[in-house]
Amino acid sequence: MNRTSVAMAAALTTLLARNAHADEVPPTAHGATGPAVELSESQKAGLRFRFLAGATRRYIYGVPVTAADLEFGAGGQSHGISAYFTFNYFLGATEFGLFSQHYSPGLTFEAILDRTRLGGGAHLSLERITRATDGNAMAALGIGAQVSASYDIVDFDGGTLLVLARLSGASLSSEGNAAGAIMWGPSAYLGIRF
Amino acid sequence: MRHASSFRRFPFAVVAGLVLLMTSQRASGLREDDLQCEEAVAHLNDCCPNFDLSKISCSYKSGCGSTQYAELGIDDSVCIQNKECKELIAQGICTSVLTLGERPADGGAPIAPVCQ
Repeated sequence: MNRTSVAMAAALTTLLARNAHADEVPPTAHGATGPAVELSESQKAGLRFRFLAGATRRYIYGVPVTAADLEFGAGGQSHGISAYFTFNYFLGATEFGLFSQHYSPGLTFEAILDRTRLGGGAHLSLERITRATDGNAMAALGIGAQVSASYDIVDFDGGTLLVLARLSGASLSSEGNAAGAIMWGPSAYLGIRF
Repeated sequence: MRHASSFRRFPFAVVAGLVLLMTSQRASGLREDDLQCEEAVAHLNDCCPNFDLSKISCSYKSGCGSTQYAELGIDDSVCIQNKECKELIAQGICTSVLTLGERPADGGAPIAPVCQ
């Protein structure tokens, strides 16, 4: 897990280093430097931030959790690929009203196909569910992965409005000799990238 | 220039800080019997008049040579979740769950199921 994290961090650092120069000299359609070409906001290289807000439905041992879902991302894009460090948080409730919170830092890569982006990534998870019996929290740490697809709806001054759909899965720790939980489910977001 | 560099590093520092904060949390794990039991108790609390939540334990505890499991097994818990409120009351489940004892040491369901 540590080696994977280091490799992903190194890849993102390389991408960001390229972007520092990509800001100054816009690439042509063939990737060489030359006269500036008009790129849409969604295609320009450089440091980017992304905010997503939406809803998610997750399942843990078959128990559904419905939640409001927020994510902040910081990263960059260059040569048809974007990469973001992300921090995702959702809060909601199980079917019978147990309060649930989820914290999830991760790393996401996307292939930029004009206004559509196809992505994948990995994340850490901390899931907390408040007990009905005594009000204490059940909490589990885990590691997971996700795939996503997004579409840039419209560019505005300095940013882009987008929609994003995602399917996530994570393996969570258990206690005692019990098998660990798989938490999985879809999410849908409206977001901005700038 | 220095300000611009700091601005670029700030979000990554925030994410790193949040990761550290997250991993420092006490997270002993999530058991299926605990979760299903808590869901069942939440449903009973919604349905049963004067239901006393403190009478049921849904916690796994292990130490000093003994292990305690959630008092409702997974089958009972799921059965309770699938019943309407009027069924829980009519079948006496609201009262029978309050007389549960500890489950066997192997973590199995109580000898007599409370929900069928």
